[in-house]
Amino acid sequence: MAAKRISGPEDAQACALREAAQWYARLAGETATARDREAWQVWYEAGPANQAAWDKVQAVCRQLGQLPGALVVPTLQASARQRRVFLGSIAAAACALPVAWWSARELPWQRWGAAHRTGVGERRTLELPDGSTLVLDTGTALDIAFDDRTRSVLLHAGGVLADVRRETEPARSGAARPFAARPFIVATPQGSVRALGTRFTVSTRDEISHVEVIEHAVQIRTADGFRPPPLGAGRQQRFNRAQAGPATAANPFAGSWAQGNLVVVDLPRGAWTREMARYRHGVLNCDPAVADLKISGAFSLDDTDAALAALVNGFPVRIRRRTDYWVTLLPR
Amino acid sequence: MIPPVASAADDVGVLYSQYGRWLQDWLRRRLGNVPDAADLAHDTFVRVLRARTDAEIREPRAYLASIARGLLVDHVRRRSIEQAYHEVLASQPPQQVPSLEVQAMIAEALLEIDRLLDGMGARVKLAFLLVQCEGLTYAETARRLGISVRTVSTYVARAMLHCCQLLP
Repeated sequence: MAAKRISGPEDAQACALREAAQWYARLAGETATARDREAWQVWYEAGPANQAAWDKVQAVCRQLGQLPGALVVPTLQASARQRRVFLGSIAAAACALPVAWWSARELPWQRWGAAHRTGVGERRTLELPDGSTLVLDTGTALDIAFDDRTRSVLLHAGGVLADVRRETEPARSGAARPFAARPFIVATPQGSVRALGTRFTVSTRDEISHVEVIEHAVQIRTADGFRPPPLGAGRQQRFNRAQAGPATAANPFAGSWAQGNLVVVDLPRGAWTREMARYRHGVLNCDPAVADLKISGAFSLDDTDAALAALVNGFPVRIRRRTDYWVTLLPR
Repeated sequence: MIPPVASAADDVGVLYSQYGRWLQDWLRRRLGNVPDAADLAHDTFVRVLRARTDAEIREPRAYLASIARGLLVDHVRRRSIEQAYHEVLASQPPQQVPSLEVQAMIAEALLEIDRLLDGMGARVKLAFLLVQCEGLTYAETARRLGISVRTVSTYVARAMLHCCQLLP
């Protein structure tokens, strides 16, 4: 507390505020008595300075009261925790070259601070400044970083279907530099995928990136610098920070989620369940007894309950719902 | 003839052409993305324009960085609160999720409260919020934090004073 000073008008105000805060604390407790309230009344009526001070106390209470109370503490605590991580890492953020968007560890706040995000079961189409489009899958977080050298999409989490426009020389001449089409790159924490053509998907999950090429080709480069041969149409490949797995044939319906459908051919039910679960709130799992049974068909991602109903209709499974948000697939 | 007095905007223009790129890179290294860095760099120069005094800026980089740092902290605050709020929303069943307009208002209100409470000790803040927002009694708050009821009362008074002092 401040030491006593010679009183003046500002000090009278400061003193009134201090007393108002103390009165508030007294009256907000469950042991406040009628006598306390009477004493407060005397204090309040003593002069305009006290009344002005009490107005401020009320303004603070109003500001705090305008929100759903249960929300405040968890939100502010979670956000403070994140910020501690970020501010700790600022000290270490010496330099990150444009070529390598991430340093050794992905900083968690980059995902949390991402400019474009989708929630569970949400899908969104983004029109990019060069006319290309991205469809964002459920649970995606990304940033767009277009500058005069590259067209980059920084994919922190989730997946995208990219439809890339070829850059052509602008009509006006007299540019300072000779025209150079900018490469279109989707970067993930595991490396980057450079478009050699037009249509492909990239997703990143559990420290592994997955690419499916629908049209033309892409060039993968892992964070450590490993470059497999270009990946062509109808092919898929996974990679981590260090290396890439084998290139194999892609699901012929790759990217169907962008129209709201999961289209599968002979997919084991366990894998189907894992895919579907990403589009639902809550838990969706699959009894091991039915996990290997294969499924084919088109299932709505916008109405996952309908998809589950379709499953029960066509295949020997039944569904147990413990709650709306906890569903298990079992043998029939 | 009296030479024309350079306007404040001209000075900032010079500052921008000399240090604009440097500032964007400085911000991008800390933010990890280009569009946010460009926005904050722009905001920094707007601040410089508004704060303009006649005093010469001797250390432009340090001056710009100190303004940018303040904006950075607030930017991070905003993003982290939006994110934390979205995580809380994501764990709720969809029917309980409010409209986007209401969500934006709630996020803004949370941000203002966070700014208001900034600078308080973590336990003082928590005690205050448990009483104010979660409606806990002093006895319940004391039990939750492992402190005495008297301390809870002291914390509430201290927190309330802190907030009142920040109001206009």
